[in-house]
Amino acid sequence: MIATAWTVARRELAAFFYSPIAYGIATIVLLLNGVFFYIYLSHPAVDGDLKQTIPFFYGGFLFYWFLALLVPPILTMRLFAEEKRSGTIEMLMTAPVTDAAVVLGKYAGVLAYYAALWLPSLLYFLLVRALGGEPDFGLVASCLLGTLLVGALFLSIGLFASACTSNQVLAAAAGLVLNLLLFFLPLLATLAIRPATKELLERFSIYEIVFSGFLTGLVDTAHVVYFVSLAGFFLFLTVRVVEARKWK
Amino acid sequence: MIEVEHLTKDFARTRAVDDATFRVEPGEIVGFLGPNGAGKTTTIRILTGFLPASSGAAAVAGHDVFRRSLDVRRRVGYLPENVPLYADLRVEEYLGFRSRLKQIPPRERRRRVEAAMERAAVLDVRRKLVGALSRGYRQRVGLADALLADPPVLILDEPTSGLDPLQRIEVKNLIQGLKGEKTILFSSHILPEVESVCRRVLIIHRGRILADGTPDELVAKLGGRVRYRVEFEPAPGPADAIRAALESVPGVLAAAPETPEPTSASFVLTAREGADPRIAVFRLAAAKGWSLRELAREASSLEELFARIALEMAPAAAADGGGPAAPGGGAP
Ligand SMILES: Nc1ncnc2c1ncn2[C@@H]1O[C@H](COP(=O)(O)OP(=O)(O)OP(=O)(O)O)[C@@H](O)[C@H]1O
Ligand SMILES: [Mg+2]
Repeated sequence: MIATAWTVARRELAAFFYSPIAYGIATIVLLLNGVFFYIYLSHPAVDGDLKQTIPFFYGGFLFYWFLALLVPPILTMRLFAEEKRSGTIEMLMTAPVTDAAVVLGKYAGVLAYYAALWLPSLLYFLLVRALGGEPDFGLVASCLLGTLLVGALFLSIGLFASACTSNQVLAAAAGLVLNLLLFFLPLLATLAIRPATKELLERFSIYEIVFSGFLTGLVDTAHVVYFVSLAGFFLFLTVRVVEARKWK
Repeated sequence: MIEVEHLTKDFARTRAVDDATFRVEPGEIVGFLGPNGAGKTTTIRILTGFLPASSGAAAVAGHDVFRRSLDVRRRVGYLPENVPLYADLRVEEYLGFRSRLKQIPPRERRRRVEAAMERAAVLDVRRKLVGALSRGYRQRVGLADALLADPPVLILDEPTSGLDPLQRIEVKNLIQGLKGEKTILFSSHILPEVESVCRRVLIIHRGRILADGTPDELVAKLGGRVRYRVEFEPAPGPADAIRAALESVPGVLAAAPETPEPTSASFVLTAREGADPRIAVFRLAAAKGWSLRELAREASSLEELFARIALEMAPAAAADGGGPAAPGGGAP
C-alpha cells in the first residue's frame, strides 16, 4: 500500500515536469511571488519592515489568495480526469493496487509539487538576511506551514473534483467553485447579526484561521487539525468516488 | 483457472453480457470470438476487476474477481483493448513504473523489465517515448507489460488488432510460445487467427456465449458441416457423374459443382461431422485416373459464422443447449 502509493506519487510528481501547464504555473507563481515580495518589501507603508512583509507575503494580501485558490485545481485537474479520458485508468486500476493507494499517491505527488512551488520563497528571506536584514525565521516557518496546509486542503478538493469527471476543464472549474465556496461562505460572518453565529463562522473561516493564526507566528494544533481533517475528508470522498466505478 | 458462472452485466440501456458461463483450464489457450459489441471487452473487464458484474460470479486463479480483486490482479497480465499507456514516459521508464506498481521485488525489476522487453520485441524502442510509438509497438509494449510480473494468467483483449500482417504473425507466435506455460484468454474478430493459436474457442454474440469448443466443432455446430474443396485438371467428365462418384465416398454427405457448367472441374464437398474424406477422395481420383489439382479443407470463415449466428440466433442458441446441431444449411 505505502510502496504503491509512493510509486504513484513519484510518477505524478515526474509527470508535472513533463507538463507544459505545470511549467506555466511554476513560472507564473515564482515570477509573481518574486514581484510581489519586492513590492511588499518596498511599499512605503511597510517600509522594509520584515515583520509585516512576511505575513503579507503568505496570506495577508489578496494576491496570495488568488494563487492559493486558483493554482491547486489547475494542478489537480489532470490527475484523474485525464486518466479517465485517455483510458489509462484501466491499466492503473487493474494493477494490484488499492484505490486508496492510488488516491494517496496522486495526492502526495501533487502536494509535493505544490510545496516545491512555495519553498523557493525561503530563498527570498535568506537573501534578505544575506543583505543584512533579520527575518524572523520562526514566523516564516509558521506562515509557510499555513500555506502548505491551505494547499493541502485545496488540493484534496481539486483531486476530488478530478475524480468526478473525465473532463479536465470541468474538474478545474468544479474544484475552483468548491474552493471559493469554502473560502467565502464563512467570510459572510462579517454580515452575521448574532454574535454567536458570527463567532462560529469565523472559527471555520480559512482566511481567519490563517490571518489570526499562522500569520502571527502562532501554530495552533486545532488549526492544523482543522486543515488536515478537512483534507482527509475530501480524500476519503475521492476514494469513494474512485470505488464507485465498481458498484455501478 | 478462469471460471465464469451465469455472468450478467447491464449497462444503462444494454445488456452487454447475458448469463455467460464458461471455464478455462490451467495451461489452456482459449480464443474469445465475437462481432463488434458482442460483449468481449465487457466480460474481460469484469474478469480483470475493472468493472463489476451485475449478477453471476467469476473467479480467476481461484479467487473471486470481485471479493478478492487484488489477489486476482496480482495473478493476471492484462492487455486492454486500446492499450492505454502513459504517453509521456519512455518505454523502459513505463515498464519500470509498472514493475514497481506490480510490486516486483526491487532486485528482480531490471531483469524482469529486460526479459519482458525482449519477449515482446520492444528492445529497439526502449528509449522512445510511448506516445511516439506506432500502434503495433504500443501493442507490444502493452504485451510486455502484461508479461512483466510473469503472471500465470494472461487476458488479452484483441492483441493483434491494428497490427500489420507481419506483426500479427509475431504476436501469434509470441502467444503460441507461451503455450503450456500460461493460461491465456484472448479475444479476436478473426477466426483463422484464433484457430491457428488455440484449440478451444468461445463465441459470444449479444452477450451470450453461443458456442464453446474446438474450431471444427464450432463450424460443425454453427456453420453446418466441415467443407472441402476438390479441383481436377482437366475436368474429368460430366459433372453429374463425378458428383455421384464423390458422394459415394464414405463421409461425404454432398458434393456440389462450383460452376454451373455441365463439366465442372471443381466441387465443394460437405463432410459428415468428424469425418475427413480427403484420403478417400484421393484414392477415388487415383483409381479413376482423374488428375487431382487441389484437395483442401475450406478455411472456415468467421464472417460466415457470424452472419449465420445473426440470422439464426434462436435456432443456434437452441442447438447450443441441446446436443449436435440440427441438420439443414451446409450444402450450397
Ligand atoms: N461503459 C459502457 N456504458 C454503456 N454501454 C456499454 C459500455 N461498455 C460497453 N457497452 C455496451 O455493451 C455492449 C458490449 O460491448 P463490448 O465493448 O463488450 O463489445 P466487444 O465484444 O468488446 O466489441 P468490439 O469487438 O467492438 O470490441 C455494446 O453494446 C456496448 O455498446
Ligand atoms: Mg472489445
